[in-house]
Amino acid sequence: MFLLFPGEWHKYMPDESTGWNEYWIGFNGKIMEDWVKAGFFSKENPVFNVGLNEELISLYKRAVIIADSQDAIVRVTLSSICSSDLHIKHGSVPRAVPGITVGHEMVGVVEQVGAEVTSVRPGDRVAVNVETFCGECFFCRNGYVNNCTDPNGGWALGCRIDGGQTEYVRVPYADQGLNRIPDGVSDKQALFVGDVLATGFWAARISEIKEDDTVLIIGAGPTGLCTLQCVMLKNPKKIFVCEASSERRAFVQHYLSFSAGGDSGGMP
Amino acid sequence: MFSIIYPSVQVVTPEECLNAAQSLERGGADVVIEVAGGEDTFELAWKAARPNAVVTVVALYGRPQILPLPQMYGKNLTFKTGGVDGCDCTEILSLIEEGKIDTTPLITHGFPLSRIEEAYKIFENKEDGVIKIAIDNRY
Repeated sequence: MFLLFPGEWHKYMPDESTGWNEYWIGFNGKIMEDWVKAGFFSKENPVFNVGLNEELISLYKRAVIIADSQDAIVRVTLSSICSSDLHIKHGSVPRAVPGITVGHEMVGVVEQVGAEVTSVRPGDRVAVNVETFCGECFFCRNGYVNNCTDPNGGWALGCRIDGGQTEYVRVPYADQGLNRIPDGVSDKQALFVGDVLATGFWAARISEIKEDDTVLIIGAGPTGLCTLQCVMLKNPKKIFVCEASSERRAFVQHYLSFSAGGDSGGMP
Repeated sequence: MFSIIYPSVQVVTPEECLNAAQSLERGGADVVIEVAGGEDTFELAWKAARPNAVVTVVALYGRPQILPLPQMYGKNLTFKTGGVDGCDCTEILSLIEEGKIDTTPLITHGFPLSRIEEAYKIFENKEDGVIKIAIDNRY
């Protein structure tokens, strides 16, 4: 990891003469050039990450390596932005470490694995869990993985360690944190498995919903919509969805009318 | 492809919500899941719940919330709180494969990684009817 210099952030685009294919943005062109000349960044190691620094959003270069035998390196193919990323941006997450790459919703392909990783191999398409958990401590063994007592346990990716709005991410405890995506499921379909859909699923699971019940879901943002789908699987008698925004209320109606089994997203 | 038959879902405004819940036969919802994290939504959550309900608080709040225990005495609510225990991903992926869950309609916008600043702006300001944005990390 490299210390980043404080100060202004500038945007740069690659030019044809350097032969670089990647877009990279850094602090003060001269500093980046020096780092390139010093060999810190190379065409062979062309990773770039998104970091948040005092409300400015920039892309900069960083190396990503296996640090532990239970790590995997994942080449991120598709990722997303979560409202928790905005909480970090606004300084509402005391645990967040300044200068790390953010992003914790992602799918990708395993590039490298540490010696002890057994559940995934290079080439596997995987969903990355927002949480890091060891699987061994009291909390993990009871399914309370959010409170894993490992130093990296809980929400680490994109909060306390480099996350997924990037080309490559190091995933600690890869056997726990990566899930192979079935062949019949696309990257788009799997994108939210590791965070917002897991949240909706967990909320529906712990709420003791019975088929006779009326369930009220407050909030029809992304998490609320995922919660709605998961609550529906419990087949309660009735569901109310409460939402302040008229646009989002209309979206719920639209969301309820789709057919399952294929891509129906509005991505351009 | 097939359509899933859903139990009846009614969309309400916050103004309608409390009345709608308290008009139910048991005096409120049997289960409330609070995902909004707004100024008044925690209060709405416990008020809209029937006695002996489960109120699951998933939302992240900017400020501490008030639990007026004297007022709530006797309502016998169970609150469940916290951050997701994300250990069900294998099951979730199977449900997606079976077509029982589909979150692709949530992706309303797409951007390459090189334009992520624009994506943040749209997402943060809730512009253009955005729900979720897919970022293509290859570009």
